[in-house]
Amino acid sequence: MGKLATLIIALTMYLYGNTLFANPETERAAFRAYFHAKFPDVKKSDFVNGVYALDKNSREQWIEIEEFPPYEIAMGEGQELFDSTRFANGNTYGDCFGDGLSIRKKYPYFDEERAQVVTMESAINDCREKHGAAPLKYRAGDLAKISAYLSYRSRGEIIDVALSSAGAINAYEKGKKYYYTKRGQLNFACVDCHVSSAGMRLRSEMLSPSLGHVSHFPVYRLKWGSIGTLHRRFNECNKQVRAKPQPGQSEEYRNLEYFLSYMSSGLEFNGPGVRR
Amino acid sequence: MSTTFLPALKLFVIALCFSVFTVAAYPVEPDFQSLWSEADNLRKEAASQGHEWRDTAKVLLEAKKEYKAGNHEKGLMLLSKGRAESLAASAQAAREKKQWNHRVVK
Repeated sequence: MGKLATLIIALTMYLYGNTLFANPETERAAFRAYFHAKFPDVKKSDFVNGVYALDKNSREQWIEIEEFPPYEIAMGEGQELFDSTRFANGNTYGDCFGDGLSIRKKYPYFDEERAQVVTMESAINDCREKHGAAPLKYRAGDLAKISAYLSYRSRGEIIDVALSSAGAINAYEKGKKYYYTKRGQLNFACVDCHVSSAGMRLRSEMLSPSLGHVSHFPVYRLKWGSIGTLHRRFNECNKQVRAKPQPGQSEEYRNLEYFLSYMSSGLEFNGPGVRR
Repeated sequence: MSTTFLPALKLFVIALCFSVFTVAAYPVEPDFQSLWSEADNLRKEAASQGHEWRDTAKVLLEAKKEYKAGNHEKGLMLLSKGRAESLAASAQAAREKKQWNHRVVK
């Protein structure tokens, strides 16, 4: 009888162990292991380059494009905005972000006081509002340009998201739920395209892996003909599966960014990027 | 009491039957506005669960526009589409409450 009970307990642990004892750390390890096993020839650090890590032809074209990167003009304008904007009270962006160095790696983080995830883009608008200026549009335009400049200045720094409180874990869990939930008329979840089908073609384009997704934003997309933030891309993904998109910096998108950033922790920031 | 009540009841039943026949014989135009409001409430219900589909609101507005312009058949057809989308979106929300966790990479 004792042996039978042990056997049943062992079997239950084997079958449901992952569910019972899943935590962010084991989930992140499993997430990475999935991609490393799926793409064994891709160097682990190369996942920050998205499809260019997977497809040789696309990579060659991308390297050519990077010789005269189309985000460069936006980045220059971002620098100009960062350096020369003086708010009505006489303060500047520098009063919020110092000299603009090593800013990117601080975001996203969970703000305990406000009980919400703060992203770099929301912090830019927080800064503006603190000094009496109107917030900028979240998905493109000046905010994306400033974000591009700050991202460029943080290139090579490591994504490091720590889930150090119950509130942070709750935000992570919400982001995870959003990531894995099917929505829209086409009934797709983020995971369907960017995990299960990563590396496969959707019409002429290859689907990128989720690992490293957050590293290279904001991006200049040839399709957009301009630079846009990560939340602009989330918005577009929602529209593509015919789900009603969320506004930029909605709670859902901030939590999603938080979840994805945690999954990519340890990889380098290499934004701004260029994508088709 | 019964001498007054029973004839009155009979009269009421006869009147009720007559009214049913009348309605069946002369079907009235559907109350578009209340049907539209019902469909829009279904859309809002799906939205409150974070599952509204991209085009449902547009479809419902188009339905109203067509109906007002006198294109009743097209208006009703679009209304039916918007209603069906709203119901399917809510069904998706209910399904996903149980299903999403099964997709977590483990």
